[in-house]
Amino acid sequence: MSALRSAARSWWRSGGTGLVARLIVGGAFLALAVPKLQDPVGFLKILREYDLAPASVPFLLNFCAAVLPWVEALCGALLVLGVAVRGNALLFAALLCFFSVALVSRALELQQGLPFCAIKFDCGCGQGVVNVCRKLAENAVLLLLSLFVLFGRAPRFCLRARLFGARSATTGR
Amino acid sequence: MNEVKRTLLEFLAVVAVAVPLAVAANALNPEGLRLRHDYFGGIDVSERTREEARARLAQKGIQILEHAAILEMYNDPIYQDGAYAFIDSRSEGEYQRGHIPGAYLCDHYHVERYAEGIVAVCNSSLQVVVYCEGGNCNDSELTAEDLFHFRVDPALLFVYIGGLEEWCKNGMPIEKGERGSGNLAECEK
Repeated sequence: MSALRSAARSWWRSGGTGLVARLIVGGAFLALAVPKLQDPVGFLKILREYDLAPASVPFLLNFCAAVLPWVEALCGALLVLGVAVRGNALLFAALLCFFSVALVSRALELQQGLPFCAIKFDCGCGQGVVNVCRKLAENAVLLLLSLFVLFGRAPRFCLRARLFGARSATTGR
Repeated sequence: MNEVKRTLLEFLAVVAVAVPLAVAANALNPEGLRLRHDYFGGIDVSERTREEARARLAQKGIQILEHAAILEMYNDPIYQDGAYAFIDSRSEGEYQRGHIPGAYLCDHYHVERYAEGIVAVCNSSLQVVVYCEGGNCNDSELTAEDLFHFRVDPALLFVYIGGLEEWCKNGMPIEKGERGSGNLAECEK
């Protein structure tokens, strides 16, 4: 038992947990960006359903639909590689908060007397039709992991953990 | 520099680099979106009811057809000879998965790819029927407007507002793959 505890402690000290959190968050955003990149028009149509931008200013909606998946993919890759780790973690935490609020608001529009957790729709998350409660739970886990990367120990196993100031450790030693 | 400042600066730097790169990647992607293009004809999400679509189309002289009329056209022997053109306004992937037998593909969101061929088909047809998925889909309305702008006579233009959903609900077959593939099938439930 004590060997297990000491192994866990040494894993924690080595920054292994932060690495796993980074890989999960970055990997998830990267993977979920792919279907949106393959079908930008499909993503545009779903984004329109959220009614976030006025129809009279099409540029706003087009810009979000065109740019968001690329930003997710690019920043996801940076997080996996360990570049600008905290900046990317902050970006993903902000995006996850925004996505979750939008998801709840859209689900409430679609509710029509259904129990909240029975609502299923294509949220434009890159997974097709999803159950809203399950998606919110996924977002919550990703948000916690992003916050862990943001506020946790100094990131390790990174190509360039910080863009500015002192460089962090680049290896796991 | 303290940690908070450094993180905020890093966040801004990431956004400042990622957004222009994303715009460039979209511009280089053949499937990318045209940022200034009005894909939805200025129609708000809340304005997609059948009644509102009917009123908008009527202003342009484009009529709406119900299933019974569509069925009559489909069963008319001259349909096979190309007298009536059915236009599927969904994406190529959706079209390949199943369309009204004999329908032509004209995806509103990539209309420039199809315009030339489709306009020629429309101009040689007695009537042109545009449809999409049905329900809240207003791609058929938008494609009919495209055709209107390409100078297809609005008197020939009709929109099947029930779309593929209504077609399937009435037990009609779909054609999979290319137009004229002969690969007829039942709609997937």
